[in-house]
Amino acid sequence: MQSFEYQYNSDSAALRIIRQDLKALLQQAGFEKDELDSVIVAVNEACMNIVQHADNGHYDGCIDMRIMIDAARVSFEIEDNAEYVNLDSLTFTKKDKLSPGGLGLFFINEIMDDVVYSHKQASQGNRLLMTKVLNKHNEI
Amino acid sequence: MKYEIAKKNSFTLLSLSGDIDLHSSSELRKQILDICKTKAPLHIDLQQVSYLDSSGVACFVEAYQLSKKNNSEFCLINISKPVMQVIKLARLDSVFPIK
Repeated sequence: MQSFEYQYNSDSAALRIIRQDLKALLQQAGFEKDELDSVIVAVNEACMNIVQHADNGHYDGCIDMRIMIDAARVSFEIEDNAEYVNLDSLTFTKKDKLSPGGLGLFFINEIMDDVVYSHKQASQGNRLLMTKVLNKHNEI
Repeated sequence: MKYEIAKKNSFTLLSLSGDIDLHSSSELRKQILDICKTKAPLHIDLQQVSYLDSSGVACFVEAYQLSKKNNSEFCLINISKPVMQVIKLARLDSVFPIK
């Protein structure tokens, strides 16, 4: 397994950079285009949730991302140091789909095979660990 | 994201290009709502759009709902492949009028 670490500012201008970095990494790893595109959508939505929290004045820190790739799966650990979010509010239900925030959660749950939200061990900070099982073995 | 607005004989054409994400969707929403206020039929050309996120989808949903309320035409045209993937993911390909 290989692991890659990135850090970004939690502002909306960073989302494009995140997508570009991710595309470059996953292309190098030999991901199929459709798989690559869908994974980028999920990661963008997850980071967007942190940025929106920042836009509401609750957080002006960083987004820390660790990407773990092996032949069978890719996992993304995405963390912030914002105040704890209510984990129950991140549990996707079908009726959430048409709400603005709900659509992003819907995308993440549709694309990824495993999605786990948790609080960091410190007194603040949130963590999302999501995993996609790959269609075929990639080069990394 | 860049946009161009052209007033045709029977509709307003909003042509978009680049990435539509949280960074640009507030500007997109403003432009779309300004057009919807005129109750003119609205066609949105998405041929040159390379990325669409849920905040962009939400703009189109709002425009579609407003157009229905105003009894005016709304449609998406020339949808690029990456945009269509997201619209299908949202299960909106059978909801939006698409040409």
